Amino acid sequence: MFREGETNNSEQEPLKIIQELPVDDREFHIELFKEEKVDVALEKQDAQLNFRERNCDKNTLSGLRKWLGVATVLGASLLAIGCNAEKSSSGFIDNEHQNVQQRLENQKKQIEHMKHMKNYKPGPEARQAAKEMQENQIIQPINDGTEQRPTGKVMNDSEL
Amino acid sequence: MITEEIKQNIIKELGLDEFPAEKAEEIMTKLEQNIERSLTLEVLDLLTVENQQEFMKIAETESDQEIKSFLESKIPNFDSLVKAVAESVVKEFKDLSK
Repeated sequence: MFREGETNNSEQEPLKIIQELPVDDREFHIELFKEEKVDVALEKQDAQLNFRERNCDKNTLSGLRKWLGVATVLGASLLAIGCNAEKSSSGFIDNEHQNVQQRLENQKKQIEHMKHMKNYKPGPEARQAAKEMQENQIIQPINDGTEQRPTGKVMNDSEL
Repeated sequence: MITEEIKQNIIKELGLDEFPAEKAEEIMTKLEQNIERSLTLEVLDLLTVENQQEFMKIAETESDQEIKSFLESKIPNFDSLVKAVAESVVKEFKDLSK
């Protein structure tokens, strides 16, 4: 226990300890702090990736990674993020990291949507609606021998 | 394949040139690994199970160019995906190390 006004040396604020050090040692401590921040950042990234990797097939993961690791495509991409990194084309540059994440998400959604549309088969209601639209001459069916689908073409007065 | 020039550019971009060369190299290597791992996960996420199996067969027998062609056929804008992932990892690293 300490009386009022007394302090425990071991509990002094880190900044005060650094200030009391000789100049050379002080610089060493500041440099170490920067390195620690970088190490922590890498550890956090590592932990996040470990977590994601746990849910994947190990063989495919290592096969793909092995190839991607030697692929020149990665080198080209890293070159692009060097000193002359391009700004986001979206126009929102306040938070570049967020922009990149957003673009990545959009691209993933686009691919998912394409996969979904590739396997899309119209249900009975959609077929009925398409038939009604054709009957009402709102749209014109494709006449190429394949299954008839709405084209979205608007009929001219002369065609009606 | 990451050339020395590319590495130096990134080291400068991330302010790693303030560190001793050995430490900067160590950080760069780990960052490079994180980019590769993140890219692998994104690619895997976008491939169907059938495509993953097909990839494994191609990877065993075909050339790098054919593997790349396969991935490009299954993942539209593959190159831009790679670039986006690399940018994302580097920027995440920058934010985390502030």
